[in-house]
Amino acid sequence: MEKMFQAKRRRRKELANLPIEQKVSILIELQRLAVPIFRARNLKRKVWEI
Amino acid sequence: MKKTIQVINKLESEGIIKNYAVGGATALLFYTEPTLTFDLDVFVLLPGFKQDPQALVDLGALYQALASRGYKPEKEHVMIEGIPVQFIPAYNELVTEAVQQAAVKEYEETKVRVLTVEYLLAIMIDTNRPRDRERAKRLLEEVTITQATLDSILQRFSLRENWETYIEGK
Repeated sequence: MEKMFQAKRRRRKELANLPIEQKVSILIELQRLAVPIFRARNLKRKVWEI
Repeated sequence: MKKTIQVINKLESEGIIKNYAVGGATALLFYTEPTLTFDLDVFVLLPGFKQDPQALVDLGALYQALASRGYKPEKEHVMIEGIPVQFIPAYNELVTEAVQQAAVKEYEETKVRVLTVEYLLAIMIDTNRPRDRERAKRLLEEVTITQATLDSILQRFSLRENWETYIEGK
């Protein structure tokens, strides 16, 4: 278990060290995945149009 | 996001806002792994700003300047170049200092002012909503904090006790 948590922590740090432009691209992907879930709960959210 | 930042920088250079810094989840994005957010929080100091909790803050001139450029408000946000931006006037001395001490970073070669990790942490500890505690945890796990800077902020804004409580409950 500890090895798995260590790997997760390492992965998080790797992602944290990505360039901000790449993180914003990942964020937009997350938004695309999340919007239908919010919509199903009648919550209006929009994917950034950049 | 570059165009959005450029619009905000222009507002600052034209004196419509005195100073600004990106805060909230988007500021966190500069330091931690990407997590979901849908808006861009921008803390602002307005011209003629004085730290007075009784003072009424008028965002009228800012909203007017944005409207003249075609950016209209939608509820609490203004849609600027495809991103909903929420302008939040600095509401206490901590946030004011955080804006003044913001880090200048770059996004696609455009300068952008972002709250530093130490001030982000202090604001989270001060606000202390469940999501703030969660974000603070992530910051502490993923980012190297300058402890002396954080200590000084916690001391000056009487947040030491809140911090200890947070650390104990983490």
